[in-house]
Formats: sequence, structure tokens, C-alpha cells
Amino acid sequence: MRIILRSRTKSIFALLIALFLLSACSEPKQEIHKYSYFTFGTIIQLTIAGVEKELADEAAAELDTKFADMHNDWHAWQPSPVMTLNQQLAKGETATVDEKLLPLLLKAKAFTDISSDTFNPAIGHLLFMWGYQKDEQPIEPPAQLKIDEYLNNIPDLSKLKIDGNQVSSSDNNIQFDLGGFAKGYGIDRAIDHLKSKGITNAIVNAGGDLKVIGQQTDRPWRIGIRHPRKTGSVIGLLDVNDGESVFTSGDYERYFIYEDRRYHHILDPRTGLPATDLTSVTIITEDAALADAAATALFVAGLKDWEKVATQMGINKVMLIDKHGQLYMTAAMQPRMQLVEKDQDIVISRTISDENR
Amino acid sequence: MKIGDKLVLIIGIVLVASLYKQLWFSEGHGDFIQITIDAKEQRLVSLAEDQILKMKGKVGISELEIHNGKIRFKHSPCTNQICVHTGWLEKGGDFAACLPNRIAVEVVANNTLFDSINF
Repeated sequence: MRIILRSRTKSIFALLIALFLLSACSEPKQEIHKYSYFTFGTIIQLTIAGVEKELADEAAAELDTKFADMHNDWHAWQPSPVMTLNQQLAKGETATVDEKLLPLLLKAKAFTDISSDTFNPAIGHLLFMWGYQKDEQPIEPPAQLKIDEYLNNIPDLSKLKIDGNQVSSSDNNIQFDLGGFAKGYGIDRAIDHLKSKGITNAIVNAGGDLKVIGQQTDRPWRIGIRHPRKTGSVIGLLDVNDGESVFTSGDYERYFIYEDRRYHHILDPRTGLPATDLTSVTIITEDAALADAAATALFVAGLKDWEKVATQMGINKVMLIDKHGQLYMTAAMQPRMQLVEKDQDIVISRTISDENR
Repeated sequence: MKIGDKLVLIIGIVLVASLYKQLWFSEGHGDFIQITIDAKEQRLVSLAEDQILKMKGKVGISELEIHNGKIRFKHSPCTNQICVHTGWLEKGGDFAACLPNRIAVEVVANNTLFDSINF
């Protein structure tokens, strides 16, 4: 049978075809695989590109086990090798640590040393005093008397001796809580595992801090940096290169309000109180464990000392936002950060070498 | 073809062209959400249809509201309510999670502004 279409019918038919074609955009691209894990007291998002789903699923399932093991091995507040170590150090005993914990202790000591004590992962007592060992938010700050007591006994990691796998200390105030950089170290190990599986394009994002390898399908991985004061907005975008980590410490991540005053979770080990100058610090460097420690250290160092501490820690790509909303960047960070509001006033620091590190 | 027919045709063409622009080339707006429950179960849900999703997690039921192409945690059984305070998500890469209930929501878009968010 011959179908004769009048010109009006033809036109409407053409429009319907065009509308049908619009629906083609409704399916998400399949070459990106995403997974989420609940561990380290946060959520870890894994994004994998450029491999078949079967391989991505296999690697993701293996990481699930690895993350759970790392969480259990490094948790300071539940039975674990760290808790055992803390108990032995408190008694003045020499502890034998395994090969999983030893590299973290070496890094803990090294990072503290180069941070001028703005980073101190041995302040377990202080974190406990504030209530930050729990997942729930604290209700009130500790009494000044307790803070004063802490200030008279600030744990000194230079007194920790590591001899092979034997660890001892002449300072029994040392109580490790590795939360300040274990997440970064865990991200490094996760990326190593993905590479060993032949996966070369991925992002591991643990509670907002991340490391990337390779790229998205045909362009670099692009990261949004959350605005510290505008919920749901990004302040800038970054194209992240193969092997780079991007870490941010912000006062908006964990905080509570007591008697109209806001208390956040980034404590200055030198005062026992939340650091006050800044609202966020963003760092780009390759080693995720270093990036994790440095983001905290620079936040604590504040406007006066951040350049000195960044130089000591070997970090040259830094963005800071102070409590008045003023932006600061190093000369090496500025060309990388695509700010959403283009006309923002930025203070550029040129005291830090802009060579790539 | 009469004048009225031509007018209808022109309006139709303009409408379709504008939809093409919006759907194929608008940057960032999400098409789907990926819901992950306890790192095990994943669901992909369209943002096109307004609805309330009730998801059973580790400590109870989280209510997710989809409205006008956006999604939010409307109610959650957790104590901190961080997921609820995160508010509406609409752009590709936007993300919210209820840690105690182990439920995560991420907006998935074909044409996304960013692949992951740093905070």
C-alpha cells in the first residue's frame, strides 16, 4: 500500500522524529564506573575510566576489603595495632609494630618535623578531650582547665624513637590519632592497587580529598573546589594531572555551635584550640599523605606562617581563603585554578618557588 | 499549507531547536542520580520525574525527594542531619551522603562541569 503524506503531516512527522532523537541524551555514558565506600569515618568515591566494567568491578571489590583493613588497622579508638601502641607508649614500654603501621609512624614523625609542629598526629588526648574521636559532633568545648593541662603536656614527637620495628618514647603523652594523614596514605595505597590491576585512569576521593591517575576519556580529570561559605557552590575548577592529589582543609567540614560560638575540628596543637585565621586551604601535590598533612598544617599555621611551613613541606601549589573571604594563592597555583567569579581580588604569594614539585 | 499551519511549524522548529541546545549543550545539569546503599547496592534513577524515594539504610529509612530535576535528602534517621542540610543537588558531580545510614547520592550528567568535588 502506498502511503501518501500531505506536507503538513510530513512536517509534523519530521518534528516527532526530531523530538525522538532528543531522548538519545537520556542514557549516561557507560565508560565511567563509579563506586562508593563508607569507611575512615567518611565516604570514599572511586571513579574509573577506560576499562571494561568487569575489571572495574573486580578492582572496586578488592578495594572494599583493603579500605576496611586499613580502617581497622589504623583506628586509634577501637581495638587495633594503633590502640595497642598507644597503650604501650603510655606505660613507657617499647612496642613492636608491624610493617603496615611502621611507614605511617615514620611519616608521622617526618611530617611533624617539617611542619614546625603545626601538624601533630600524637594529640590523641586533645582530640578525645574535644570529643572528636567519635563520629557524632561534640556538644561543648572542654573546660579551660583541661586545655591548660594539655598545654603543660603537649606531646613531643621528637621524643619518639623508631629503631627498626621497635618504637619507644620518653614522652608518655604521645597518643597517636593518625586521622590527620592516614586517609591520604590510604588513597596512595588505593591508587597503587588500581595501577597494579592495569587501571590507569581513576579518581579516588575520600571525603572530599582526592588523587587522580590518567585522565577522563579525552580530557584531564576536572575537579570542583567547594566554596567554604556558599553551600552547594564551587569556588573554582581545576584540571588535575596524572598522579596529582588535591586536598582541602576547611572549617566547614566538622563543627558545632556552643553559646553562639562556632568551634570547628582543626585544632592547633600549639594552643589546644581551633585554628582561627582561615576558612579553607587547598593544596596540590603528588604524595596524598603529604598533601593531607600539609593541608592541616597550613590551616593551623595561618596567615603569618603558611608560606614558611609550605616551603618546609615542599608544597608550592596552595590556595587559602581567610575568614574575611580574601583569597591567597601561590604563583604556581594561580594558573591552575579557574575561579567561578573571575573578578575576585587575589593576593599572590611569590615567596614560594613556582617550579613544579 | 495555510498561515496557521506555517506558524505552528515555525513554533515547533524553534521549540525543538531550543530543546536541543538545552539538552545536548547545557553544561552541568544532571540527568540521573546514582544512589549507593552500603557500598553494595547501586541504583540509577532519572531526575526527570518528581517523586519521593524511600531508601532503607543501616539505621533506618532515608527519604530522597526529586523535584524539578533536583534531588535532596528530605528526611533522614541520623542524628547530625548533615545530609539533609546539604540541600538540593542538581549538577553533574553534586554529591551528598548520610554516613550513619550509609546512603550516598551523586548526580550523573553526560555533560558535566566536573568529575569529582574537593572539599
